[in-house]
Amino acid sequence: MKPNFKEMSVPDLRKYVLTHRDDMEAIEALFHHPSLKWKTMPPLVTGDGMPIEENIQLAEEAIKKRVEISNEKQKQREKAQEDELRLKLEAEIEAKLRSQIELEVEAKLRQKLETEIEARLLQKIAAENQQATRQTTATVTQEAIDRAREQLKHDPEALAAIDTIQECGGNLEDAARLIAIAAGTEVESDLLEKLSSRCRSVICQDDLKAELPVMISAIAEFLVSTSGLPSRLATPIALFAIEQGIEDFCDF
Amino acid sequence: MRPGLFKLAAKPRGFCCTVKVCGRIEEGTINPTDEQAQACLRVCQMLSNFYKDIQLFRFNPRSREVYIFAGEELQIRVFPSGDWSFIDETEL
Repeated sequence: MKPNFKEMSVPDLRKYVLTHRDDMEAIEALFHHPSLKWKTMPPLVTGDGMPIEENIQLAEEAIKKRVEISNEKQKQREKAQEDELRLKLEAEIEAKLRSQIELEVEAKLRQKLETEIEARLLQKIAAENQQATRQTTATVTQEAIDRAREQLKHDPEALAAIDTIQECGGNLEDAARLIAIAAGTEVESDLLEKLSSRCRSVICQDDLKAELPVMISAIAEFLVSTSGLPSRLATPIALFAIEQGIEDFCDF
Repeated sequence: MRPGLFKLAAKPRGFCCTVKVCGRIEEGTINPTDEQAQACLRVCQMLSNFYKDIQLFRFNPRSREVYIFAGEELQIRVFPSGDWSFIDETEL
């Protein structure tokens, strides 16, 4: 179906006729468009073919002037297009840069967070490793248990503690917890570590270091008098200190 | 009606009759006047002098006008009388 040429604008008609060169209806519509103002010029030759110099000169001047106007208009159109394109490009570049900057900031933040998390994790792992090391050293061998039992054979309280340690397979921390729970004491983490630290001043008295039964009774007395903890805890505390190496423990 | 005479009422569309000759004006038949043809030639050469491309050149057999579209917006009509006209300004 053909378009309604009478309702088309001059620029649209121009585009149309250039692709429909044999459509005389469209061409007529373009050349008789009501919006166009025409300037009529006189003939360039006489009826017998003789040039009319005056009219030719008029024609040349008119066309020259008209072409200059046309060129100026074309320049303005190109400038407008260029400005439009420049604005569009600037907007696009700004949008791209903005998203680029946002990405970079996001990446940096993520990196910072990762570093922080990694540092925290490393710290945690180190602490756990330390704890694991402590836990291994907080175990006594069967031989050590037998030796302690022999040394403490006159102290029934200490022997009961040794039994608990035996039940716990030599794990001093577990034994200490069991004893504390049985006595109805509130149990904290790293119980043995904390208790032995608290008792360091007692344990590290020079005249106590050598004799296990003496050390245990001193610790027991200290525990009961200062914190109301069960005296039976004295045995795992003492063994823990000895297991750590009594000199190292006291050099702390 | 005597034989040999034309029955004008029955003339098909697109036929041109002179006293003795009748012929179909084909699409694209070009029969300008001398003044018109000379004006076309001179105007086109002037446009060419100013580096304006002739984009469309058409002879309208119905109105016998020549239509010239040159450059971006130059439109020219050349009439059988040899007069010609151009768009002085547009709505653009």
